[in-house]
Amino acid sequence: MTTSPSALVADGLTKSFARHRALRGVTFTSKGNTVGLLGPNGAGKTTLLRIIGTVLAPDGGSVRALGRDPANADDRLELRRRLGYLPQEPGFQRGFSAFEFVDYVAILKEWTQRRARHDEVRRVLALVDLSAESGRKIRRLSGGMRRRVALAAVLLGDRALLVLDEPTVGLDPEQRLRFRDILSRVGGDRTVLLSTHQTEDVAAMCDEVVVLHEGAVRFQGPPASLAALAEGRVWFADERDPAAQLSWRAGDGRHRHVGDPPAGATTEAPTLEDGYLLLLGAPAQAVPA
Amino acid sequence: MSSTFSEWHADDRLIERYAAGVLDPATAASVEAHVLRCRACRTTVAGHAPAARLALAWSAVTERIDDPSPGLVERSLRRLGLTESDARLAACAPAMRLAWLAALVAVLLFCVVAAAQGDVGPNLFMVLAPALPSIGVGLAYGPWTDGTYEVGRAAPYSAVRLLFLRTAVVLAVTFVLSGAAGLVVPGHRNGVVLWLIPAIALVTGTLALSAWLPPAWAASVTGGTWLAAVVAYWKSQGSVDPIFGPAGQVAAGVVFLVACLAIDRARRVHAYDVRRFL
Amino acid sequence: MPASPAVSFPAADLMETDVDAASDAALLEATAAGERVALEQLYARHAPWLLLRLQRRCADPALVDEVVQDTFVAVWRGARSYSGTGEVAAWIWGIGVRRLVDALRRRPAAALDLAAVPEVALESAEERVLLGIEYGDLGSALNHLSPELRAVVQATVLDGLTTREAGRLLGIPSGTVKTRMMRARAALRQELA
Repeated sequence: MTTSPSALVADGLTKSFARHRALRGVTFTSKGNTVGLLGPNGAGKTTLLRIIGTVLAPDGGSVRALGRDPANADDRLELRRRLGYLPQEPGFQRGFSAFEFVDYVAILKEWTQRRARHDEVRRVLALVDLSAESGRKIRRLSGGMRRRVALAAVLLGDRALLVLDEPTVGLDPEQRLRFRDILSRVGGDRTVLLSTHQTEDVAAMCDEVVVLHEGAVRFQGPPASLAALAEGRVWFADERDPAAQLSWRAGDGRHRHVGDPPAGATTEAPTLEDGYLLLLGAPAQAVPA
Repeated sequence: MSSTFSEWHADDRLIERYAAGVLDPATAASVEAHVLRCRACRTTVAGHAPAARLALAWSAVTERIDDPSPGLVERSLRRLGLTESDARLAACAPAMRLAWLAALVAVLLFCVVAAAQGDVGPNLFMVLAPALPSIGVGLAYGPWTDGTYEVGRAAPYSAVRLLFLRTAVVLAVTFVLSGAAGLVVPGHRNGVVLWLIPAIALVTGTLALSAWLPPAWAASVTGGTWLAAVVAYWKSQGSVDPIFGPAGQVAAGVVFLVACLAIDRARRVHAYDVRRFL
Repeated sequence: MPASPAVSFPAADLMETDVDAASDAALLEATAAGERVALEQLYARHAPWLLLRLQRRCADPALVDEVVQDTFVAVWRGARSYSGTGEVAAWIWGIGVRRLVDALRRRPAAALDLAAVPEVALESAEERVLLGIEYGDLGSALNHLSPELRAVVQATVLDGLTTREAGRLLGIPSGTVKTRMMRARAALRQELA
């Protein structure tokens, strides 16, 4: 499915802001169609996506996306022509209607012929089901609708690579479902890289997951492998087990434990979240990528 | 009108003949008068209207509604020869917002009013007028003032082109307003023109620094340096006039040339295109 | 190709669910708020009769289509100016016929000589009833007027245009509209006496 050359390569990426080291040598090669970038707040996800989205230059290391190196001027332009980037907090020009905003972004994406551009704007607004609201001022749209407007702008012009920074944050379950639906509709053979701190997003959409923690890659592989990290290490008990690395009281009153089970405990099938929590909860025993 | 009027409806055949344009004028007129008040008969009429033409007209309506109606700034820019898309990008500069324009007018009015009171006003105008365009440029483009900045960075449209486009608009607006204010500030016969070269030097300096700093920082650096230096001179000498003498103008010209060279250099190394800050 | 969404979501606004049932005035209010669906529904309800009615006053179909477009773009932009009382259809007609007058002023050659509209004798019982209800003998009196006088009556009395606008629509000076109107009144008075 993946178009060669391999979609995304990061090699020893470093980036610091003043004294804060956001990325401490991020290296991974991903061939997935939909790659989930998972990690807690402050893990460096946004910085990594900004670098891949050509918005920011790294201090060290290199990136290749769609076979292009954004450090090279010609490559960068070519990459930008085939890239759709959704910032974490997409800003809008005040007073724009949804149509005007997407139209504005379309100009930045080199749609200079007005009629063709307007047709394209209508197409992407229809994709996110906002045709009826296209004339409404953005400040009068709900939060979920605004995110769809921003997503419409990302989808302009049949992009080969979509870089989406926390596209589901702030969405309620229905809106999140709708986002997945839109993404699956525009899917095809394009590459999607999205960041999230929700393991459900990864489980529902991604065929590959990269876990970023404190500016470094802690895991890379299929979601099932991430879940498998907790294989045989999840169990239920009536009482809280202090030996467990993580435990919480489930809805039925019993305690769900992740860690090293006591002898005789019946282990449960792990979820993606179990594997992720175990990975982050045990920084000492780093799992090789 | 008879009370039975509201219950009467035109039948399909009558409407068909109306639609074909073959009804006599009086009957046609009564059909029209009735249709204006009767939803049911409007529905009957709709069945006889040319659907294809109506569909075409509707798509034309949506196109015209969607088409963002250009504002005054955008219309003027197009008249000046900018393409439709460039005019749109330029007119969307945050610095074109009403708030910024209002602040600009307020500052200039304050100078004019103060000038009528005594010595401070004309000096104040000569201190502020050169810095105002730079402040506008600082607000025209950048991560904090332009909500679409990040999306724009990831798009193929040239960042330096966008910055310069908006700078041109800011310059046009501030030059016209400051020029008008300069005309009415008393005590400065040449107040209209003397601040121009320093202003251009500061703007060029801001653009040059914008290759390595966010434009708002760049404007703070150039504007801040200017204000600090000129105010200090004013304090010690009691007037800022000598700054705008021949020596000052030549110095401003040198700053302008150096900044132009720096901009050219920055463009060659794609400094505007690769950002290490956000 | 993308299929329609597999899941449906609660509409953001009431409008989307009962747009069919909404009154014209409610639709106009929603249009003023920028609801495209509301305008679309208004168009479905009112564009057909507007097009046909304009067609009876202008022989150029391209010009009529343009006026229909103009009218609904004006409805979109000016929905707020609707007073809230009175028939929305009448309000739309008021916009439409004035747009037609404007369009004809730009292209005067397109004006239709109303006398050229073919006349057909009354036939069905319904038509007689309609005439009886609406105009009584006035109907036949109108039909007996000369085409020039009738056109003036139609433009000023039925279409609600001012003398000046009627003159533009018909391509005659407003002084002529006034004298023809006087003559039409006299003729009708005589006919109905």
